[in-house]
Amino acid sequence: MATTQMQAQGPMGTLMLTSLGGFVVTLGVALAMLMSGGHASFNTSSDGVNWGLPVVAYVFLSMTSTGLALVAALATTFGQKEYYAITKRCTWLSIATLVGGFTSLALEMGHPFRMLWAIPMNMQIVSPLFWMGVFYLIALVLLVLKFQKMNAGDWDSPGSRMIGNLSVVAEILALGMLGAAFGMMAMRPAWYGSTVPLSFLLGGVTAGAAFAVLATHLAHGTDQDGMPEKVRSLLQGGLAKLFTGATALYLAYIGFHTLSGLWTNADGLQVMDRIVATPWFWVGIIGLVVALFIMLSPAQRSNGAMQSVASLLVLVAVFAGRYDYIIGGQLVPMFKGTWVQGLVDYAPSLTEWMVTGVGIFLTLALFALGERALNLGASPKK
Amino acid sequence: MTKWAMVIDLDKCTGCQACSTACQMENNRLPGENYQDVLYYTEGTFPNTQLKWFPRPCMQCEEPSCMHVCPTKATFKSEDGVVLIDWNKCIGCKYCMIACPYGVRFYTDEKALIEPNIKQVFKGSGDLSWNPPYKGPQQDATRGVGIQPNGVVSKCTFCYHKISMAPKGVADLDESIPELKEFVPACVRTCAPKARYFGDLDNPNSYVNKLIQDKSGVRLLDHTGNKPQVYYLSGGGAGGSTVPSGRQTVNKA
Repeated sequence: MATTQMQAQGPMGTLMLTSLGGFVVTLGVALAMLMSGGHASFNTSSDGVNWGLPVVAYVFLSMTSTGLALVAALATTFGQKEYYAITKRCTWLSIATLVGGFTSLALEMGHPFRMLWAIPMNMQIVSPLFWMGVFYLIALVLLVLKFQKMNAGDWDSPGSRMIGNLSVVAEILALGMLGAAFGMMAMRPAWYGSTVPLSFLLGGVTAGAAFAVLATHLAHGTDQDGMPEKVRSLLQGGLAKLFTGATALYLAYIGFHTLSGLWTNADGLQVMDRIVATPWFWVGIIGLVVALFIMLSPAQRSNGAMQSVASLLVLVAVFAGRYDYIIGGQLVPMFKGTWVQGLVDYAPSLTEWMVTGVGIFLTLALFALGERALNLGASPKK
Repeated sequence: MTKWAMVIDLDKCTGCQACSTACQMENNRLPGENYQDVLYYTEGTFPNTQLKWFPRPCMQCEEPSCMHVCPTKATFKSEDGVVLIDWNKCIGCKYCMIACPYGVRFYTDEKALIEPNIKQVFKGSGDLSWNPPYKGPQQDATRGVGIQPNGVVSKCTFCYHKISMAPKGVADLDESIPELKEFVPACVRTCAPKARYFGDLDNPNSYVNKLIQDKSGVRLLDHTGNKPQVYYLSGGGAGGSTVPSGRQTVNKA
């Protein structure tokens, strides 16, 4: 299929400058702190929270990557041709979020380079992290190949379709394994559950749809009247419905998850009282409710700026939700006696915020660079 | 095949922390890196409260969840049943710390528990995260013995540098037998009320097997399925040491 070229009209120049600047600053500060103090500059500890904010950022970005791959697959795998208008952008963003997530994780680990040989050389196939790594690596390679095909104008040849289909399967399996890495931990009741991978997928679709809406507005500007018809109708039609539906389901999930945690007396779930008392939790809840209100109101929904606000609120809410889940699951100490009185106290350190910033700014910088150099608004002519 | 195990008689344990101190000295632990610890906690609500304590080494589980989750097989079971870490393979992902139900694993690079930071006083180099002047001669990174490098997780090894040198086929490592005392784990050897016993679970003639059978030895959080190789004996007397049923933290009212 031939390709329609589409130049970005949104504030991509500003985004590129901001994100590149943010990336350089956060990376510089994070590396300086890590080189001078190592991971002691984190507020994580053996007696308390082992996985801190950078892991939350990794999980958030990985979830978003899978969600974006699924949005892209609506056209390439499921035949919803109207989504071709954002398929190339979503595929690129799926790659960018994955790279951003991996970067956050690498800065959080003790020996990230050792991982490159130690995992494949030792084949610990019963570890969920092993399979998560395998599937994310496969997904990344396939997404790059798929993007390369689309960039060359090959949107739906059998080979291109096959690569696209396999990349979606790999992304789903990868995020499922990431969810399982938490859900399998019976010793941490606030995490445990066989349906955790499904909740990760739901969060992924929600964040992916939100990021797709936000990125499209960043690329084309919030004035929907000035947009190409295909993009405008998608933002008013299918994508808006997907975004709204996913947000509603995600809000329901968070609500029921919180209620069941508050209701039960089981050991380990007492942390839910702490979670609902934090501003993080209410930032998420209020963000989801406001976003739903915007998207369910025809007058607000048709306004590009309001759609952008709604998508940003949902992204923040999904991030907050992952923070509550991942950090909350570690707040009940594991046999620490009087070393830890009551629940663990944790607030991310400056270094942890910087590492998180590295992942997010890198994602945004890659998005802006892609928009500038790779014509992410392109779609098939037919 | 040998399967080393520890038995701790809670009716004898006085909570003196000599075991913890001996472990710290033997294994060059930093403050807070308590491979062996005696945990204190209170039970009940004011004014009806009791101070309790609970000696807690690594449980050296038969089915260690820490080992199964390790993506690089850095955590492994030795042939004689001890859970060890190969620091040359550890990537510092900390998943093993997440997966351990007993909280007995420690990451190297953390804020110092007390000042001055002893790691800054005795700075390490190469593969040593710190370099105390009094460190022991043992150093085996492939089994997680000695002083760990930066960026890895460490844990109790049952003093593997000692027990792995014991004569083959011995049923128990008892500090009261002169020719065996050098092979006894530091916490067992130093226990003043002799509350700790160390022996081979796979040897039907071992004293640890007899104690577990005669005194109905129990394991901590047995429902997790990790099958610890540390057994506790408790007559349920009025002493302050009992096997906790949970993690002993804040529960809902």
